Amino acid sequence: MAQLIPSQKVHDVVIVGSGASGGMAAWNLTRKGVDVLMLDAGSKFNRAGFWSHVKPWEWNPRLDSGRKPPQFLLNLKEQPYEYPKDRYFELQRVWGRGGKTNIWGRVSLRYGDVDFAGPAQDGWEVAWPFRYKDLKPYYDQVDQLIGVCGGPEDLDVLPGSQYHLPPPAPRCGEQLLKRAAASVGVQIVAGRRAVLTKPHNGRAACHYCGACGRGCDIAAFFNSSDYLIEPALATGRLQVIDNAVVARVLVGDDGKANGVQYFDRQSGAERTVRAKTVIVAASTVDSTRILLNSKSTRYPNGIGNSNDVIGRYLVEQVRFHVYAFMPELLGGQVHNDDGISGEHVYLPRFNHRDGRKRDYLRGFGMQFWGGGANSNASFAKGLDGFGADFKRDVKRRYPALVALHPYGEVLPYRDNRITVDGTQKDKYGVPVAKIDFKIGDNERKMIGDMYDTVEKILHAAKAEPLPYQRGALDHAGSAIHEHGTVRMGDDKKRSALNGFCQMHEVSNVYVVDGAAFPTATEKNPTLTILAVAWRATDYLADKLRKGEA
Amino acid sequence: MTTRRDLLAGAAVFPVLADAQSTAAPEYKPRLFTLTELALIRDLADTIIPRTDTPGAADAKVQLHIDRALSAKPAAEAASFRRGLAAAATAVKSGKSTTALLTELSAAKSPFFQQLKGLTIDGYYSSKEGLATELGWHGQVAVSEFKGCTHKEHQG
Repeated sequence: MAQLIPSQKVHDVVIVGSGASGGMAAWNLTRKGVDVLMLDAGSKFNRAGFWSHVKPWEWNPRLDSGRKPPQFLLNLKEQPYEYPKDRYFELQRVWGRGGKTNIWGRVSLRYGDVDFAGPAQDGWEVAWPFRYKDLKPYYDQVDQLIGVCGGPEDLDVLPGSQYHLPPPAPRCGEQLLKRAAASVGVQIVAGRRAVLTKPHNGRAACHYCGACGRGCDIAAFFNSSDYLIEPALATGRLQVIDNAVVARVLVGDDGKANGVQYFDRQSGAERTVRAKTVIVAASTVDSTRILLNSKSTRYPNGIGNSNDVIGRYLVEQVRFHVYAFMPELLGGQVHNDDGISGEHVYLPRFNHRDGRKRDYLRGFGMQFWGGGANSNASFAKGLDGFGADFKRDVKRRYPALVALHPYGEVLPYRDNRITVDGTQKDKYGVPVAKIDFKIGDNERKMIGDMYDTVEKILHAAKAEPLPYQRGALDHAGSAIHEHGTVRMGDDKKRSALNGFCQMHEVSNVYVVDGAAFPTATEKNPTLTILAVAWRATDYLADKLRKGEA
Repeated sequence: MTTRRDLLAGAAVFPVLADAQSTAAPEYKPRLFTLTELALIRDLADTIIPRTDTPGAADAKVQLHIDRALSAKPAAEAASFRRGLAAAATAVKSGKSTTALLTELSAAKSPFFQQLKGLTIDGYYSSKEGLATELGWHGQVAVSEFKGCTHKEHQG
């Protein structure tokens, strides 16, 4: 077990992780006068070296001349994880300044009371400890801080914002899908994305090059490094240690956390830092792994886990893709459809409305990324034939492509869990995470409804789908929306954290990332992670100010 | 059609071009396939996407893309491709046209055909010839405004 060095400096707060939640914690605490040490498992990505505007045919010559694009995704050989043989779980991690926000999908949807109050009503599984009214001021602040474009809609499942930047115009295919959906009573609204469609807080607006997935060369969409960590560094109250792969939270004789053990990613050397408060913000799977590995005589089941909640109730979303061709666009003009990359419209959950009957709990929404003129024609693999006719057919269909991606909520099941049983260890000798996740009857029923909805809209649009198999799903984990394994709640027996992300059992440990969420909802979580982390660190800063921490 | 050889020959005459050449990427060296195999891959790919009034797969040197793509995949994938390629070589040597061969393989839903077609699609439609010249893609550029759909007939 790692030993703290008594003479070491004791930091007020140490934050593990630099993504959306860690960045928010650092930004909010430093501006309130708190000194913060951040441990980042990687280092800063060089924005000038992003391959944002590199055309597809320029990649190979660049690679041949020895150049490399930034490596955002963590190599599994460096840091493996496990899953049962028959249940693959896809896990994408970015270890480096800003984490996944460097390349995230940018979909920024507020949760409503349908989401926050749902679990208390249907019993799955613990109630959220707050409601929309508690989080609304934080959503408002986040929208203003990071810049979120969107429309005027204000729905029970998708509360509105008065701070939206103008939404980008829909592409032709999206416009036609919107019309088709409306004809069968389903509303498609302007998408909400954390992209600057006009200059905002001194930052330049998006130039619609469409290459967001490779990192933005001008930071025109929110990323934790530029938007949160740089301003925090500018206060002089933030210190960041790069390449610090945290293994464990350390515990003192009084049962409180007193520091963190980490390994230097380059030298492999073991190090410790001392701190009065530890904020865990390493993204759901790594945060959970760290807590479960933080075993001591006081907490043999992992720190803060006497009630065996941590690691359980892992939630994600079920999703699939259907591609189709819109008849009005076949053989039509090819536009530059890049826009803000990904969909400009969103289909909010509707299955609870207008007396619709359903035999499952919760619901699904729908996204549309990948339609229009793409920088590839992968859809052609789904077309029959070859030769000159085939080539003509690909060209005719190219501008007419639309893509439908419904996302459905997965209920929190006790046995969907992350464990660290210690059989496989990483290069530092620390047990890796094992992820065991499967869906149940509720999801299977919902998937049927998701397919019905896709088919109803495509039928109304007279669209021709590429062949698909009803019931087929993407890999578990592919939404990259893992949550739930260190959940909040008022019931201390059934949750690990209070509504301010503070551990029930160890009052100076906070977990501020998606792990803290009691449910997944059908929506993308980052905006809510930012709002929840802001609220939690307001609470912590207040405690620190009063000397209570 | 200007070839790389033409450009290099011209370079001796025009020093400016020589400069441009010297900073270009080194020529791709095949990692998996022999020149004979590459020639067959080229012919098969060009049968899938032939030259019409726009360039085809051979013009886009898709065979090199396939070599590169498979060299980055698990060895089993390259091995199964190579088995399919060997069978195709035998058929072609016996006088069968690539069109007749691919018609058979396509009808039989041959995994080799699917693999070859997928790789050809990836390679061709990511090349300048396939993506820009053939399909008319003109994205990934900085623009000041995104107009989106401006067609009255597409509106609600």
